[in-house]
Amino acid sequence: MCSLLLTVFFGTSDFWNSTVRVTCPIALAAVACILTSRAGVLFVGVEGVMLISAFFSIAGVVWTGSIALGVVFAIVAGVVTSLFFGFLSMTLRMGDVVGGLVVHVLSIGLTAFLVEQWFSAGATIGALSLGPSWGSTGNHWLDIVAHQQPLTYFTVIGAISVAIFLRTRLGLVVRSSGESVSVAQTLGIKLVRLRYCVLAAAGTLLGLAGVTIGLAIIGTFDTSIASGRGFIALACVILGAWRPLAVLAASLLFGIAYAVQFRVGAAGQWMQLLPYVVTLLAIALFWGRTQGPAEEGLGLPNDSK
Amino acid sequence: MSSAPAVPAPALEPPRRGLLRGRGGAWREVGTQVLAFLLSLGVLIGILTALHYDPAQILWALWNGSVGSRPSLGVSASEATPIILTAVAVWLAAQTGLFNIGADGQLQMGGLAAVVTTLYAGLPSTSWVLIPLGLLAATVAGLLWAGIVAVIKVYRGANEIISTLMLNFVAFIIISQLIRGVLQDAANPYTPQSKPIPSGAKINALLSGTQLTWGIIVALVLAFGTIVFVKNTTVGLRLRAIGLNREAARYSGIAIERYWLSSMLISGAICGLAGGLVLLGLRYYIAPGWASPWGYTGILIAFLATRSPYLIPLWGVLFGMLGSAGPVLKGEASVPDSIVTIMQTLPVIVLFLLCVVARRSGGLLAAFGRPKSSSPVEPPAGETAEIARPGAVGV
Repeated sequence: MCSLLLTVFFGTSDFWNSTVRVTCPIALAAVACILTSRAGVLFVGVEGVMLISAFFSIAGVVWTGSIALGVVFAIVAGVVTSLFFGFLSMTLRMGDVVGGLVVHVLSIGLTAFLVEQWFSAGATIGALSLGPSWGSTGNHWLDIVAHQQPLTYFTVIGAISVAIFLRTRLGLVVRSSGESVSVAQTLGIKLVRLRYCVLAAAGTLLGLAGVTIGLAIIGTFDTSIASGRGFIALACVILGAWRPLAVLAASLLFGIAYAVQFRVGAAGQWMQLLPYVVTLLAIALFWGRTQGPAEEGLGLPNDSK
Repeated sequence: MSSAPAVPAPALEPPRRGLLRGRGGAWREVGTQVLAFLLSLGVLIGILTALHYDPAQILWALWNGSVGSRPSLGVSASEATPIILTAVAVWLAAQTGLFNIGADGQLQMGGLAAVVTTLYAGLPSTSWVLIPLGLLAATVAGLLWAGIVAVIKVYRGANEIISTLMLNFVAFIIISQLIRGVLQDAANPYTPQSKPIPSGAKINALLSGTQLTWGIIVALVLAFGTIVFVKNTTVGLRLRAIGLNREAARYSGIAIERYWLSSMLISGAICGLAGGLVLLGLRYYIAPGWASPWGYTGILIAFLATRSPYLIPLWGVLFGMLGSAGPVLKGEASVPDSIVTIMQTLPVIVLFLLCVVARRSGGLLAAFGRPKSSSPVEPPAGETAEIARPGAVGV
């Protein structure tokens, strides 16, 4: 069984192509979660934000016929939903977990409602058209890195920029917000404002993650299309020890799990379990080996600005 | 863990005595929460009216689908049963600072166990043993499913939010796959669902022509029992101490891990039982996605009622009525039934909004003739944050 898996999947360029494709949204979401996590926000609403962005990316393409506008719609939806999460968790003082769950449940209800309201025949784009605009290199193996949809490269650039950003002056301010709220406040940092800004940045990345799910992987809207990718991204952050490049590598692991599941098809539907079981094993085995921001998910004092 | 707490200590409160805590606090709490529910219902109907649905038709459908007719009364009660049970289970785990977001998965596994045991235990189809057996199996299944999380949490310290969420997906896939395979009803090969349970395993209705069973009584008794136990016994106090301040609890000699393990297991068992009761009393067969709304509704209610757990049954009944009215709304007012899912989140948002507004403008409450110092809507946020703190990542 094992050797069969090895030869059938890991030996083909097709497999790695689809791995890169399905890794992309997880990696984008994971990079977004590094940002929020470093700022001290446990972004439980990430799955809901991705679902809403995926919906608006598909809706945008159906309405306007333009991929670019679909991307814009998704980014706006991602930013608005992330800020809404911030509003619930900080301004309404629900805390990150309750606020996140409200966003999660609301996103499922809202997208299901909007699909029935606006697209009674179902929200489907004709073909998956977020592919690369340039030609193939001719070599299947080279294509894995050279012939992917543009957001793949953006993901890598995004992870590198976040790694650099966290080392800048502003990045240190963000990190102080996650490490010690009292110190950050003593320094006169406006934490609520800072966290809203970080959430907006994360929302942009999550909007793009929604685009990759909606336009590059699935193409038909269904309330289950995010299928836990947001929560898996949270696990990636833990597995990658809050370091952007390590987190990218971790998300590749989950990408492989998804790709195997897609590949096996009807013969091995049980393989659908793979990404979730890998996540469970990963957090069971690696928890505690790495140290996250000290005050992640603890919220802010009542009089914060 | 830093020494400086990010969340300030909660304000001192008057001592609480049982159901009614000093000076009518309980009734004010009920008032605030009912107000939150009515406001969110109003907001929802307002939005639907703006979307050109007929408000009169919506109200009629809500009434008719929840309590207005004999069958719907039964469905409301049956829908309320799992919601009350999962809510109280999540609330119980939250007392020790654990977020049991896996209520959904535990409920689904409970239902699965009830179907499998009643169908394949080899008992005659009218045997009286079937119901207790099915419910027992459901309880054990929920307990074991939560046990996975509890073991990972206690022995590895890993965040229970992610593991419970992952197990929800795992439970869903296991059930879908079993139904595609061995459990598929051969008489109905084109619908993915299991065989119906034997007739002896169906819980009889208390009122003829309805699906009102003793399940709702079990749910209410269990819910009140759990809450009274946690609020009034030494063991309950220890549980709450762990949730309020884990370090202090440890220093006072409480074996935190043991209480975590047991509260998570009991929480899972209650969710499993909820699954069993739904299956034997309302659904009678299992299909992919058969249980999706109840677990998450229960979680939302548990957080709505953190401050006043005795309101859990009330919310459970209200949300059960909504769940029962959903299909009627779709049928009579042609409103998509996903509106029920949206409606479940609105009271949470409105309640927290009310608290923030009340705090920012103490005068709002003074207008009702209440002294400002004993503000009825002392924010639940303080308490939620307390609970949020120990469960947070990186601790």
